[in-house]
Amino acid sequence: MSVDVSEVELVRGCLAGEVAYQRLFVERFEGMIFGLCLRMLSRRHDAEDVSQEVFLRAFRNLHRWDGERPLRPWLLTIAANRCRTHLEERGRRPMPTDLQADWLPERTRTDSRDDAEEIQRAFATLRLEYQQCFVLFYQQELSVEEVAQILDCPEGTVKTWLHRARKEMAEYLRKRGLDPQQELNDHSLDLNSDMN
Amino acid sequence: MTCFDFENRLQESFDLRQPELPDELCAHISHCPACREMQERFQQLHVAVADWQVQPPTAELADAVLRRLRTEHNLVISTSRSTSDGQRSPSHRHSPLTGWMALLASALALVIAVGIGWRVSSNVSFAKRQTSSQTQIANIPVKRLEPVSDPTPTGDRQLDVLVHDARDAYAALASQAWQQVSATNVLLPPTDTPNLFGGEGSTDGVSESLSRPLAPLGKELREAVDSWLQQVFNSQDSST
Repeated sequence: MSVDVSEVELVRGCLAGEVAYQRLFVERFEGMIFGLCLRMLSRRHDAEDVSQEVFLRAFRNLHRWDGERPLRPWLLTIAANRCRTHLEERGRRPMPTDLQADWLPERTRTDSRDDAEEIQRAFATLRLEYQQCFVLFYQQELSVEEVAQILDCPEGTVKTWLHRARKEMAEYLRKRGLDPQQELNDHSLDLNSDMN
Repeated sequence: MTCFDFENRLQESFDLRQPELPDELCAHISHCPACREMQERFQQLHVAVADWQVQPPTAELADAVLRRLRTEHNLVISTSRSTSDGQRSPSHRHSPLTGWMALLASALALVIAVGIGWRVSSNVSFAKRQTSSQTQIANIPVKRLEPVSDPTPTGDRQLDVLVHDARDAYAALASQAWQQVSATNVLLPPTDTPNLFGGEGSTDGVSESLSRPLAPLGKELREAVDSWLQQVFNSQDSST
């Protein structure tokens, strides 16, 4: 089956019960859905579970999808809602210690993997709404308008949340000893080496 | 441009994903070290986020989703089959005759319920009437037997006195009994008992003919018994 199947055709095939179309549907969007879930939930196992639930819900409700609107925001809306529900359920349980950044010792810069961990920790300190905004804007590369549609809130609210998320994360990184000038220099060095 | 304006404009440029910093912002940070540091921190954050890659999901994600989807689908099919089989079974089939029978049974139950209700309401009004009659009976003066004052009765005279007293006592008892029976029994209309419940001819909204269906028969019976008693008294009078 061709990978260039249109969204309408893909949905039609899924509704007809065609397993090949269903597999293509999952494979086309699994990276996007799993990425959002992993960022929101911080745990790979939870992210995979919730991703499965998102796809199951999507298949159950595919007949409600408006064919004139893009499929991606619709799926991200389901994923965002499922992540929120999962986090609310998890909120009744104690948070794992690896996400409690207050405990962590002073950061010693080693490699980019540590940077990713620092970003993840900074992200984990944000409020749920800020997290959703941040992931949808930066990772899914959606516009403010699209994020507002997915989260069902005004664009001004999304802008405010994004602003606060940036400030809080930048402040967290500053406290953790991430030197912005050194970071930028390293980044420009990496770019130069890639170009050469 | 103030630092407050700078921050707002900087956020706008981030929201619009502008690749380069606008000139007016560059002019501001050239002479404002605080804003320059802030801009560098945001820039550093963007660089870090850009490197913040997400590892792909495991290869089994699609298989797991499809497996769960198939299980769910089979469950739905088996449920719908069992439901439709149940609808086709003769034990669950409803014929028109069954519907009519059900309707008839409902109507019959309704009639029985109305009848029971009417009967209960009749009994309630009868009980009220009976209670008031008991009060009236208690107020009826009872004719008491006087002791024989004549200390020396002799022969026939003594007998006459005894028979006379017995007749009076019998008449008083009979009158009292009739009063009681006529007041309490539905068979005999209370000729001299006023209707204490509602207006004329009605008792708590129930007409006299309904609350005392055998009243006409009771009236004839009473007259017959009265005439018979009168004959008995007359014959006794004539005999004495």
